[in-house]
Amino acid sequence: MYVYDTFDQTLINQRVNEFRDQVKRRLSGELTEEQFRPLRLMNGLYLQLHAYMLRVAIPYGTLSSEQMRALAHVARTYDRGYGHFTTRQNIQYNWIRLEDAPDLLYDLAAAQMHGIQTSGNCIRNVTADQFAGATAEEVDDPRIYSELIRQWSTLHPEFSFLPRKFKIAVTGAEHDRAAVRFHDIGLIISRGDAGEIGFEVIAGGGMGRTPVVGPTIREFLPKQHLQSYLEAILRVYNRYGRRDNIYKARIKILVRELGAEKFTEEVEAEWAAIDKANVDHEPSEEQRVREMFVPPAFAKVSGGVGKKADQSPEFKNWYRTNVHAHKQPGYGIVTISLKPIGGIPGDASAEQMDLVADLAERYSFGEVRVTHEQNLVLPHIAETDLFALWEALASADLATPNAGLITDIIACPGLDYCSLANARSIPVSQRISERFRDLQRQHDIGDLKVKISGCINACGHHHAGHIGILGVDRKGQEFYQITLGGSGAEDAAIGQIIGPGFSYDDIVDAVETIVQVYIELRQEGETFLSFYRRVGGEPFKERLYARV
Amino acid sequence: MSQIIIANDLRTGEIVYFAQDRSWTDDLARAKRFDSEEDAVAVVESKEIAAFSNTVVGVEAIAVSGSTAADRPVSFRDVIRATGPTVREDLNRVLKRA
Amino acid sequence: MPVFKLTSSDHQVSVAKAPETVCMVTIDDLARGPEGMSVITGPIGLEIATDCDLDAIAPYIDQLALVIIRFEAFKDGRGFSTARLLRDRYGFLGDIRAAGNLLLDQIQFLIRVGFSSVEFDGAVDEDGIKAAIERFSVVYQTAFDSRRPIQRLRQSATPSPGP
Repeated sequence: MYVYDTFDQTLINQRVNEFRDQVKRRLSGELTEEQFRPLRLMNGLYLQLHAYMLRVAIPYGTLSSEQMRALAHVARTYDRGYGHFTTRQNIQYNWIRLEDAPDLLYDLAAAQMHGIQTSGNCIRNVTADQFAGATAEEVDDPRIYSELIRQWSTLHPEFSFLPRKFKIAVTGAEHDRAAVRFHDIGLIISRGDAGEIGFEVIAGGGMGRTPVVGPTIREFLPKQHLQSYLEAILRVYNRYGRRDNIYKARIKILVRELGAEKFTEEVEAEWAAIDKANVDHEPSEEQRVREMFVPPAFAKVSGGVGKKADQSPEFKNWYRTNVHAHKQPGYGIVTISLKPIGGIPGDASAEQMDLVADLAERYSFGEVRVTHEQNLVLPHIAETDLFALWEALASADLATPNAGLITDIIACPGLDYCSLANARSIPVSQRISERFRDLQRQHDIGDLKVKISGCINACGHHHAGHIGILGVDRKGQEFYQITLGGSGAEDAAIGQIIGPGFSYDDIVDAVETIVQVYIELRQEGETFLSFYRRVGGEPFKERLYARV
Repeated sequence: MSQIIIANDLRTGEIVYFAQDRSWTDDLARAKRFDSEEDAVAVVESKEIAAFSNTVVGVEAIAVSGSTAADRPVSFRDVIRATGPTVREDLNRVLKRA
Repeated sequence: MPVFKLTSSDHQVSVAKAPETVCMVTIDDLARGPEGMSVITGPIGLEIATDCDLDAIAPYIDQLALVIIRFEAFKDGRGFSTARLLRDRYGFLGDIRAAGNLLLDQIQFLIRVGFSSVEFDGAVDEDGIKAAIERFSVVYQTAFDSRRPIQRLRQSATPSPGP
């Protein structure tokens, strides 16, 4: 894992001091709210419906045990005992006091954490595949390049006041768990003709009001030019991205208005003029970072989960969905579901965070990951430890066997917390989860991603849901629009609206009707997504809107 | 429709209402009632409220039903702001007060 | 509002109130050539918007002692790229001044992309500017200024790991 040296630590500490000074200036009246707002946002501090919300960066979704304990400490000391893991692999606290925020950030800095650029019109916290360094399918470890991007983008002097926020995601695997085509920039690590490592560069993807599957603007970028190429894209965007309309300010609109080809020409021309040697990383820096991501010292384990595990149907259910193949024989990658039946997706208590930290230390080389699907991952678990781990997780309601199933729902905070929301998301997800609680039924339904957003900004990734649900306000009532057929994976697609929306009371029945249509009409072995792609929306419409 | 004025406390972020005694209160029942939206908005935009710019943020007028202390905000969003997240009854502001 | 000259050498930036001796001209004056500016003696300056097409002023750059980039809003980050390109791409060596609606907290960014003086709309004192400039002793990226990014400092240092 990446560990700060004194340079990294100095910068973070100085940032805390800066924010302490900014808060002081705000409280004394030296700064107006209008002036202070962008400054607090760039430290991740929002004002929400009930209080300030602080978003803490978890760069590329990677945490150490100590960092997870620091997050628990914040929940306990400065919040109300819990936090919310987000679709951006970050964590949010909902009840922060502005006057406490400098002390909170001071505590976090001691654990090499911060809220820098988790909000505001700047380059946001970079995200990556949560199975990085553990899955066999990857070309190279995305955390190395993500860390280089983290450094390059932190307090970037030219790109801190962009037209709008800017999100970069990196994956090194064929199976895309980072939704790279739905980001402002997506990078897929790949190999060039001579076997050298580089990136396929995607730009102008995004969700929100105008969902776009990002086009590839460069088939192959040699890895040593990572920063100069990013700088070229950002400069073109900073200069020409629209600033007259907040809804048209993302890079996707610029790419669309110019056309991907013309946009690419602009970027390439800018890149050609950049002094690359000056901007790109030193090979020694990449090497230094790479050495911090070398695989841990795996034990030679015989494999197998043991007799007790073999005799436990509950364990086997969990193993079936929540344990993924590891590149190291005898090991597995464990997904810790933060989606207990009827629970709040992504929420974890301070006690649960502490337990996960302890378990990571005991079983997973002190490493934890956060997924964009709002779950946690212990990346390196010996199969022989799986049963003990499972028992410990189960004792804290952290062993729900539903990873990838219909109750593993993404939901944004929605109207329960968020000042942008039009409708609630969490209780809708809770009711769907309750409705489908029967595990046998969940297995029968199979791979089905339900994603819920409480407004058009789409933090709940509804456009990318196999079943997407968007909450809207209709004459003061919560209403829910359903989209079908979206995907955030390598087969990225935007879900299509199926028809008129449903009331809060009716939305769960509507979801059940959709599932029922699939179950009745599917062919052998056909997933929900492939079924939808084969038959389209008609059979669903017929049933959903049938006249009684 | 009756109106009240809502804001967040600058230091804590907590929900507060403009009170009858022209201070800020976290008790909805003590919020000053205005007869019309115009009256409330005029106060929101007044120098009196501007003088609180280092005390509260996000000042706005919201509609409440009726005109007695037992009334509740009209919009669901404002009800949630008054009571707390619907998914965490343990954090409900009104229940806690009672 | 007072103008502050920001002279940067290595990690030191000195701040001083600058006397205003430059005569401001317009792009039309420049286009008319020497006869259009016959009454002007001494250095001349041009004010541009954050989204200025730099190719349009490129022919006159050698005549200018000062370019003022006017920020209507501090959120308008185009001015940062414009200054950077004026230095890197057009080789402008004169004074580049950030003027208008700017935040004290932006000053280090301004210096890093090539601004050499600043004129804030609001009241700002020299001590405040100095404190904001000295806020960060390390930077991650190469920019126009001469500061060495952390990755290059690492090559010449063997720092102890963080706590």
